[in-house]
Amino acid sequence: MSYLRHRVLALETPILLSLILLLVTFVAPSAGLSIENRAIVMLINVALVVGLYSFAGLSGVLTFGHMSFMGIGAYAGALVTIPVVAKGSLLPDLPGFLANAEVSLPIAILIGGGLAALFAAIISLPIARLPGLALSLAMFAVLIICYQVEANWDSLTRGRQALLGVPTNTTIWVALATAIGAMFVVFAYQQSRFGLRLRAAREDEYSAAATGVNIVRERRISLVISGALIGVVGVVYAQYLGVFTPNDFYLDLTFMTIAMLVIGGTRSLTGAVIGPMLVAVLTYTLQQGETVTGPGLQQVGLAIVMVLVLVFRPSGLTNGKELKLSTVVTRFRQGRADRNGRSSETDKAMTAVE
Amino acid sequence: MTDVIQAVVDALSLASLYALLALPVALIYGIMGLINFAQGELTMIAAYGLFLFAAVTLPLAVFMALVLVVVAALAMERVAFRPVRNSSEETLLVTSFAVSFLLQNLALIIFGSRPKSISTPSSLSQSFDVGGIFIDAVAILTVVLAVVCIGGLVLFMNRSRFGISMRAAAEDFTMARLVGIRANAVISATFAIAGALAGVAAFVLVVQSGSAFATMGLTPVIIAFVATMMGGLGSLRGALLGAAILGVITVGFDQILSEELRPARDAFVYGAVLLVLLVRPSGLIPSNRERV
Amino acid sequence: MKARKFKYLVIGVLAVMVGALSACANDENGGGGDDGPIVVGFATAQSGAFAAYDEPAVESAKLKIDQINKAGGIDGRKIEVVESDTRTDIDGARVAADEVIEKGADFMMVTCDFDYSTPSIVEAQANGIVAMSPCAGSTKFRTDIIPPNGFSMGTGIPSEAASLAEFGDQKLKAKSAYILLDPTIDYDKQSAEAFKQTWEAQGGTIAGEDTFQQDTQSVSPQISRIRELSEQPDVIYIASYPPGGVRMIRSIRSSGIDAPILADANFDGTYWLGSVPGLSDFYHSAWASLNGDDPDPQVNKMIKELTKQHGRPDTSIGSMGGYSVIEALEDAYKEAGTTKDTDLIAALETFDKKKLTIGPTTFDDTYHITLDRPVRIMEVQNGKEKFLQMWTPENVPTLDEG
Repeated sequence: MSYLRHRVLALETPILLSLILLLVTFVAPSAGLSIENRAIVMLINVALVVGLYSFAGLSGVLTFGHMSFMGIGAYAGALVTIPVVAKGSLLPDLPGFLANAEVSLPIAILIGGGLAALFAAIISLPIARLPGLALSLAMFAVLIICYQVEANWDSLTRGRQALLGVPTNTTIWVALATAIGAMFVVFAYQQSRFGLRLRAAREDEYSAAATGVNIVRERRISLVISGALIGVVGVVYAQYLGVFTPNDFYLDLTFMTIAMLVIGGTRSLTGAVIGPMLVAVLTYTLQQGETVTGPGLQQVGLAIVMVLVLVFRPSGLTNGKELKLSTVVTRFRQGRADRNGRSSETDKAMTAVE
Repeated sequence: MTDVIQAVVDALSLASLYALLALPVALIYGIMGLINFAQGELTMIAAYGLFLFAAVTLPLAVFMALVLVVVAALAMERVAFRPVRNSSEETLLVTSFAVSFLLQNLALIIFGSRPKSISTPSSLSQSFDVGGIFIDAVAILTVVLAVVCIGGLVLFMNRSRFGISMRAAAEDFTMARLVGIRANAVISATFAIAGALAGVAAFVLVVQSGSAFATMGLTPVIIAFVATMMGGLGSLRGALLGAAILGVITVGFDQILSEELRPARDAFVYGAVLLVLLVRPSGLIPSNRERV
Repeated sequence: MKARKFKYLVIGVLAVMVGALSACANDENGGGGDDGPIVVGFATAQSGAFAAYDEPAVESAKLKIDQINKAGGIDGRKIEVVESDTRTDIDGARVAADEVIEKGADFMMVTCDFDYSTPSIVEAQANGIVAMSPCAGSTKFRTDIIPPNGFSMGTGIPSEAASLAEFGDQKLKAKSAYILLDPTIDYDKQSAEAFKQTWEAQGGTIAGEDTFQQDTQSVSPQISRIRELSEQPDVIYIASYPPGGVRMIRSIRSSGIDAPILADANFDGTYWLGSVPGLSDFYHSAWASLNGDDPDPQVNKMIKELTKQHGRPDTSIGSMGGYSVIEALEDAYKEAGTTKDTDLIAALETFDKKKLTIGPTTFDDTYHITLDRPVRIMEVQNGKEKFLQMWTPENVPTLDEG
C-alpha cells in the first residue's frame, strides 16, 4: 500500500498535468468546433514541446533542428495512410511497397515514430559528439537539409506542393493521448538513471564526467527518444491537418516551439506543458482583441508578452520547478497550524505552481 | 578559364556581403554571449529608413537610415537585452527571437507585406565587362564597404581606448568590470556598431534588390548565425573566415550542381557546414572563451 | 499566503476559461438556413504574407455585397458579412473556417492559395456550405483531389503561362526562350512547366533553364550562365514573385541583357517598378488593367469605385477575384434558390463561359477552376506600365498531375 502510494506520488507531476489537459479536452468541444480545433493544436504543441524538452531541457543544449523529426514522422505517417487509390494519382512514382500500403493510425504512429527514431539514431552517431553550440548548429543544418530534401523529392513528397488526402484521424482524444503519452514517457525518462545522468551533465559537465557519466552516450539516447516522440507528433499533426507542405515543419515552427519551451521554463516538464498552453490562451485572447484593434495585435502582443516573461522570469514561468500537489497540500496544512511556518521545500513547490 | 575567374569574382563579392552580415553578430556574441537574431531586423529597419528618405536624396537617406538603425539598436539593447543580460544564453537567444518577431510584425502593420521600391542611382547597378569577366558595380561596392568596415573595426579595436576596453570585455567580461571598464557603455557601443554595420549591409542589399520588406532580415541573419558558428563563436576572425567559406561554397555549389539538383542547393551547402562542424567542433578559429 | 494565492489563481484561470468558452458557445444557426440574410464568411488572411492578396479580395467582395444590398439583396435576401483571420497559417485556415461557420456563414470565401485554402474547404464541406477562393490559380481545384464544395474564381496557371508563350511567339516573334524558375512556391513550378510545354508545342526552342532562390543573396551565377550562352535567347520567362523575382529582373537588366522578359500575374501591379528604374521590354499577364485603360468598361468602373474607397489596389488579382466570387454567388443562388452546398455546387457547375467581371468563367463536374480564360497582356516600357492587348490562349496544356 505504501509502496503503491509512493509510486503514485512519484508520478504526481505527470498525473496532475494530465488532469489539466483532460479538463481542457472535456470542456473545449462544448464551446464549438473552432475552440475544439484550437485545443487539438494546443495538445499537439504540448506533446511537441515535451518531446523537444526531452532533449533540449534535459541536456541543456538548445536545438534548432528537432522539427526535422516532425517532418519525417508527418511524411512517413501520411505515405502509409493515404488511401491506395488516391496515392495512385497523387504520387504515381511511389515505390511499390509504399504505393500499396494503407495502415491504421496506430501502425502509422509506430512507423513514423520508428523512422524518426532511426534517423535520430543515425545522425546522433557523429552529432552527439559535438559540444553544446556546435550541436545546436549541426541540428540546424540537419533541419535545412531535411527541408530541402522534402521540398525537392517530388516523387515521394510531391515536393513543395501540398501532400493531400491524408486521412484526418486525429480527434481531440487522439491529441490528448499523444500529449499524455509523451508526458509520461519523458517523465519516466527524466527520473530514470539515464535521465539523471543527462541532467547531471547539464548541471556540471566535468563533474558528471568525473563520476563516470558518458555524456555522448546519454545525449545519443536523448536524441533518439526525442526524435521518436517528435516523429509521433508529426504523424498525429499530419492526420489533423489532412494537407501539409514541407514549410509546416521549418523555421516558423522551430522558433515557435523553442519560444514556448523557454517561456514555460526549459528545466522542468511542467514548463514544457505550461508554455504551449499559455501561448495558446494568449493567442486566442489577443485574437479576440483584434476585433477592436485590427489585425496584427496577436503577433505583436505575443511577442511583447514573450519579452516581458523573459525579462521578469528569465528561467521561464516554472523556473525549473515541477508541479506538485502533495507539497502544496502539506504547505496548506502547515499554514493552518502555523501561519508563519516556512520551509524551503514547500516554498519550492509554491514557486512551481505559481 | 573565364568561368573560374567569374566564379571567383562572384564568390568574393558574396563572401564580402556575408562578412558584413556576420561581423555584428560575432561582435555582440563576443561581448555578451547573445546570438542576436534581431540583427536581421536592424537590417530591415535600415532598409525602410532608406525607403522613407530615398525620395529626397540618397546621401541624406543613407545618413538618416544609419541614424535610425543605430538608435534602434541602442533602444533594443536598453529595453529588451539589458534586463536579461545576466541570464542564460538560451534566454538571451529567445529574447532576441521575440524582439525579431515583434519588429517584423510591426513592420508588417506599418508597411504591409508588399515590398517597397527604393530607387538607387543607376551608376550603382551597372556592370562592367573586363575581358569577358562581368563585374557588377554593386559587387565592387560590397567588397569596398566590407574592407572599409573590417579595417575600421580592427583599427578601432586596436588603437582606440574604447576599442581596447571592448576587446578586454570580450576576453573576460567580469575581469574587465573589475578593472573599471563600464559595462553599460561597452555594451551600448557594441550595439551602436552592430546597428551601423546593419545599416551598411542594408545599403548593399537595397542596391542589389531595390526593395525593402518586412521579412528581409531573416535570411541574412541565418547566414550570419551559421557563418559565426562555423567560424568559432565569439571570434571575429573566425566569423570572417566562416562568412568567406559560406560565400565560396554557396557560389561553388551553384556552379557545379546540375540543373536538377540546383533547387536543393542549400541542402548541399548545409551538408558542407555539417562536415566542417564534425571536423572542427569548436569552429574554425575557436575563441578563447568557452561558453558551452 | 502563497497557497491561497495559488488557489485564487486556479479559480481565476478556470473562471476566465469557462467565461470565454460560454461566450463562444452561443448561436448555432449554422449554414444552409434559407430565411433571413445570406451570411458570407471571409476565412482569409488579414495578417501575414497572404494578406496582400486576400485583403483586396475582401474589399472588392464587400463592394459587390454593398451593391447587391443596395439593390435589395439576392432574391430579397440581404448579405451579411462575418470574418476571421487565418494569419497565413495552415492550421489557422482551419480554425478561421470554423469561426465563420460558428458565426453562421452560409457561404465562405477562403484564402488565395490552394494549399492554405484546403483546410478551410474541408471544414466547409463538413458543414454543408460552398467555399471559394478568389484568386488561387492551381489546377488542383478538381473534384477528384479536393472536396467538391471547393472552388476557385482564379484563372488557371497554365492559361496565363500559355498566353504568354503564344504572345511571345506570335507577337514578339521569338524563337528561343530561356526559363528562370524560383522554386520557392509551387505556383511558379507549375507556371514554368506550362510555359515550357506550350513553347515546345508551338515549335520554339528552349535556350536554357535555370533555377534561383527567392531569398538568395547572389544571382550572379544565374546571370553568368545566361551571358555565357553561345546565342542569347529571344525571350526570358521568369517564374517567380516579388521581391526575389524583381531582384532577378533588376540584375538581368543591369548586366546588359535586354531580351524581352515575360512573367505571369505575380508581377502584376506597379508597386515594384521603382525597384527597376527605366525597365523596358517587360511583359506580364494581369487579370485587369488598373490604369483605367482596361478594354472592359465594367472593369474600369469597378476599379475606379475600389480606388475611391481604399486607394489604388496593388495588383488586380485579389480585386477581380473577390468581386466575382460574390457575382458567382449571386448567379448561382438565383439558380439554386438556396446556399445548401449540393444545390449551389450544381448551379455553379452549369457555368459555361459565364460572363462575370473577371471574365468568362467555366466550372464543370471535374474542374472547379476556369482553365481557359483570356488574360490581359501588360507592357512595361521606360518604367511605365500600360495595357497592350487581350490574349485568349489557343492551347492550354493540362499539367500532368494528380
